Amino acid sequence: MLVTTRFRRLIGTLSLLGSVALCRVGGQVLESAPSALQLERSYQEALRLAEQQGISPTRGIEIVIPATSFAASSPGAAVLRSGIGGREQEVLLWETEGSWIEYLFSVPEGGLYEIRIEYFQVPGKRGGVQREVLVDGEHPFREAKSLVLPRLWADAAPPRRDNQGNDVRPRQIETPAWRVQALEHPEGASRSPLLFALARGEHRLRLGAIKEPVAVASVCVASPEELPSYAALSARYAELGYKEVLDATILTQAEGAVAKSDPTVRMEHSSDLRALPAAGTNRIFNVFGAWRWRRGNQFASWKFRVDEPGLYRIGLSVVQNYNNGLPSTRRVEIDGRVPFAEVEEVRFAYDRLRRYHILGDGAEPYLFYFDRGEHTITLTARIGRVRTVIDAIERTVRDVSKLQRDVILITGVDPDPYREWDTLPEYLPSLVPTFRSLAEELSEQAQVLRDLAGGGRPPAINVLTMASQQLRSMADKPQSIPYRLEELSSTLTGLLTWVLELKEQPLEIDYFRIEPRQARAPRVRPTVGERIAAAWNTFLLSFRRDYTGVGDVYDAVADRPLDVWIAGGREWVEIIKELADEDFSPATGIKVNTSTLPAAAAYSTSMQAVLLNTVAGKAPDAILGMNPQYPVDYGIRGALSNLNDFPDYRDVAKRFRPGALVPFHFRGEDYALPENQNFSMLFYRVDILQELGLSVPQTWEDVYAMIPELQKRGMDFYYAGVAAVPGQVHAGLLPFLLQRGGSFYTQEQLSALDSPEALAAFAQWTGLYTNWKVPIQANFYNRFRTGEMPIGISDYNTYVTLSVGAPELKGWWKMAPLPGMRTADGSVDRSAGGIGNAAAVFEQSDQKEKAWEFLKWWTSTDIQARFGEELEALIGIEARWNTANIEALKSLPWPNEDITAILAQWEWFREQPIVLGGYFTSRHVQFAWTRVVLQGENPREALETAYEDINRELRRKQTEFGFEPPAAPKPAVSADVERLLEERKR
Amino acid sequence: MTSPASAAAIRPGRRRPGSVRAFFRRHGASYLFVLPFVVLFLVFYVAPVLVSMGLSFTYFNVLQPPRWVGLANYVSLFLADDVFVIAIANTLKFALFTGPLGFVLSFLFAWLITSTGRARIPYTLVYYAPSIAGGMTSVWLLIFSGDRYGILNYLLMSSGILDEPFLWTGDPSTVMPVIIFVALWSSMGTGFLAQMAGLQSIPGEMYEAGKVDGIPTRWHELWYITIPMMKPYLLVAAVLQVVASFNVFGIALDIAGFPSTLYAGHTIVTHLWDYAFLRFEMGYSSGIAMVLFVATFGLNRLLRRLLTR
Repeated sequence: MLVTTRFRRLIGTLSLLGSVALCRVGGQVLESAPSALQLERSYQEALRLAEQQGISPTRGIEIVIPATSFAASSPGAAVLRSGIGGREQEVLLWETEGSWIEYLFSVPEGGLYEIRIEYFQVPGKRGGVQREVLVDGEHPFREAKSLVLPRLWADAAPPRRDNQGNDVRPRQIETPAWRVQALEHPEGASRSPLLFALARGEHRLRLGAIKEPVAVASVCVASPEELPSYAALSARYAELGYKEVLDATILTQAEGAVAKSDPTVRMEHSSDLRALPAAGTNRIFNVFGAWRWRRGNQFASWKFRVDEPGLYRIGLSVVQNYNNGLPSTRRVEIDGRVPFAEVEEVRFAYDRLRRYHILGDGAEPYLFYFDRGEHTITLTARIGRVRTVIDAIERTVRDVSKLQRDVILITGVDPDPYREWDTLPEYLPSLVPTFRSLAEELSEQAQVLRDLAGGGRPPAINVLTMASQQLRSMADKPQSIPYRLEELSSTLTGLLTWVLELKEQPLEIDYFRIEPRQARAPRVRPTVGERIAAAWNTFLLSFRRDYTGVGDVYDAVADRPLDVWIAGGREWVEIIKELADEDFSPATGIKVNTSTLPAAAAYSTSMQAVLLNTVAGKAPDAILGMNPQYPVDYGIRGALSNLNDFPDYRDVAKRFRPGALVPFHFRGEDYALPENQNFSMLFYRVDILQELGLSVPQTWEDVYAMIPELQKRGMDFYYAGVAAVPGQVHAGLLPFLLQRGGSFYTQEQLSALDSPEALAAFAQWTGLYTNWKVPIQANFYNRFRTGEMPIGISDYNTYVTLSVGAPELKGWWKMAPLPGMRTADGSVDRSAGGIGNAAAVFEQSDQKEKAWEFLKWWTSTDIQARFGEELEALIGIEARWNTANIEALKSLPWPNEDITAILAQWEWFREQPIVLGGYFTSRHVQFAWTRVVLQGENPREALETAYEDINRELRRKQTEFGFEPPAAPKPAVSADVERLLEERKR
Repeated sequence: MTSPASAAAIRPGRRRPGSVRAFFRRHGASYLFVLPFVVLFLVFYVAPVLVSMGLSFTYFNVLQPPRWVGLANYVSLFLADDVFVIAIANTLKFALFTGPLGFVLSFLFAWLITSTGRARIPYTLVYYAPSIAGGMTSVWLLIFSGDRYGILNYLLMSSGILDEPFLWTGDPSTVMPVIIFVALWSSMGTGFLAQMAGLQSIPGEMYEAGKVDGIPTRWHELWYITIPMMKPYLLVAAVLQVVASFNVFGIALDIAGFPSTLYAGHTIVTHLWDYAFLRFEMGYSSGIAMVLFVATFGLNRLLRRLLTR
């Protein structure tokens, strides 16, 4: 028994992890061919390749192509338009997503070029303009698949101060202007703009529209700009006779940025006593950036006026205590240009406290020349020096994973402990040298980090050092490698987790000073006493501040604010409150108080708290984040308002998939609006399926064909069994039921599980476990990563977990719509559900109209998009907002491929109503499942029992509420069902 | 739930003849001393029980005012609710194991730990910790996970006992045993502490006297000295243990989920909770609560009588 499983697994992995054809044992070299699965090369690799081929940057060439003179385009891609952004001449207005435009040009000499685009942002969905670049029909590197032309943003006005003396964040508005932007690395991980290797002669440049409309004036292929060194520049200044300024100091508050790349990079609050202006005990926006300003390419600009021309130095009051001991990097531009090479990457070292940073080479400050008049300074977040570390890690992971596969090919996953693997280096001659060189490389990069940290010891160093030691010890003892593969995998994951952190470059700026070289630096570093005082202030504040309320708390009598409870994390609530103060209150005059409830799991205490408050007559006006099981239960008992009574309900409802409203609809009344929406998707490993020669299944028949193929190799398909969400167990049955056109309930809201469709669906569902031996319970995320379950059906949570928690798999997995049932006309019905949280208005409220206004505002496209954007900017991908608003979802910063897949599935989105006593459906479907799968009962009998039990409760509940349930049901088993059951057996 | 041990503590003294004023002059101070407790006890113990008793005669869906329905709840509880019967059976099964077994175990451990001398405190902490750390049951979920990589499944499968993973907390036949097992693990609660305290309060002279009188073994010592001396503490521990095992809820919910498969882990309190917060039938669930109250109260009396004899 044991031996067979082991053997099965070994065989499975053998044939899985490597091309079988190459697996010839007997002294031969055993290495898998450079696999087709290799990810496309990265920019760094492309650049290295160019270097090896001796391709170097060109000089002094600039080819400007007017955007309107394109050579080809997809039909209807763009129109010519004049008068955009004050341009008289015609430019290209390019709005169709998915379209492309091609330009022909020829370069006089071969070499590296950059591509600059002159563009103007036109109203769209708030996101950056995403375009892909293909040179001569292919992406030159994988980053070229999605390059971003940022939109310009600004505060609409200075912050307004409210009655409590706190600042209200101003609205963020777009400030369109014509800009020339060289295409940049999408993560800011190159020192200069992207370089494209072009041979001498004619080329075809295709731009493809991924997201957002834009107006383009010209495309320019040019030699990279050569920046002078500081020494050269200052020599020039001396020649020109520029003098140092002696006593003019210009102070610019960073919170007054005039332009920035993202609405989420913005003024922030600091309680630091040395911040200027000091906030005291109020919440005043006195600094800029901080944690939200951490992604590469995010920039901000400030304007200042110089009255006395001459040479100045630049000092900044900054806090950089985020980056785990490592510096944050910024590019400095003055009036839109990097003045000299040294400030292309300025490092702001890690420091626990506020510090005054003077731009300089460490000993001497850099002097910048400003003439009289208005000037701009722009800081752009860059990945900086750590990019080589990131590159090395990524390369290590790639090479090691490949070798790992080769080793497993020889030894199997469970190597025989009694066998010596001394011959491993003979089979894999590149194994030891690769491990050695990677170990060397990693320890070099650890040294880079050590230098950057300047005495500190960021944890990333340890991770790199340990990985390096591990590789080295493996290279020393190659016979131990087969037993240490798991250890190796976890090291790789650890390394990749650090990549994510290394990419973060946060920086908080309080103010800039353009000052004379000899100026005395202001004291910004708080003393011990000041720090104690600040801490004491915070402590005192804790007695006054109402921590359940967020932001400004309005007076209940004077302001008559709307009381909104939000079940969600504090960050969620804070963002909603800020949006409300900034956007909703000024527009409607309705003030909003928010309170935090713990996130609402089904049957959780937070939902009980709502219940008990309602009993006590203390219900809020509105609630967000309500568990979807509750609205009908509350509504039928008169606790929630019928939203249908509001005249514009129908218009609002159009924002969502019709299916998303079904669970909140009960006998002609609608008790809630959906906030977010879940989705069932088919997740699959691109690499493994490809290697096994399997394609993504479209129907369940395809799945059935695939399962034996997987099981032959010790792998499994995943479909959540009873281990699904409590109270939602029947969700597992739902797709099978919907895809047959079935339903849980009849018109009379009694159980419809006696229908032939239901029985067939149930038989199919349980058959997955009884006939096809799909594992009943499994940690899909883990087994998906290891490749034991290369394909399976799961939901939003898995999507987020994989996006965040499986960096090593990036690009190796995808989502596809669910497999479905072939319908009569040959198409595939992929229906599935996915119920999300709800927003509702309480009947007790005396401001129902206002609460409804609030709900409308909250579920509107603009606000949902902004909320999703803000949340992801603050917390990261793990807080990706799966809004139910269809339009908003399209504009959220999710990868396009993912959104496309999700939207395709949403075409098939159906949900089931929640009826009185509906909780019995979940319960008894689960019981029936147990009877069949675990106790071997006949599906028909099990489902019949469930049907009886469910209906008894549904009837009882309907009677309780005075509805007259229809008379007893008819017996339901027909020849049809017999046939379906027969089919299942086959 | 009402703790009968504390109920006993405030039983008023026998009333003597004489005017009220004289009575107060005489005993006022004493009553003043018990006043805080009496108030708290009335407000937080007696009042809820009375309210719940009242509600059990009504239809009350929480969000709307209660409506009088007389004995209807009790009638359907006893005559029509077959799940209630399952719940009672499960609770009895559970109580039968964890009650006596938990009691004996906690006494045994208390006794053993007390005789370790200096190492007593760390040992006590180790054994007491599971009962304060309620959320620790999640550790057991890992062990009893139905995944192939659940710890128990993995061990059994790799040693060849099982061929495919077993759904420990999903299969109706193992749900209750698993719950009982975990409950026993976390049963070293307040009763255990009471027993520890009791063991330490036995004066050493007793054992010396025993030795002089010729007690041959430690078992004799246990039987003739320790247990008789421990009687009041044992009583408290037994009562606590029984009340706790009748109120089993958290563990059942954590282990088996809700609803447990085929009601295999459905206890009286789970049933109560089901009606109260899932079906919004507070009246009915108050009825269940009353039944549970009467049952535990009666059992207490019974235990008391048995053990004090």
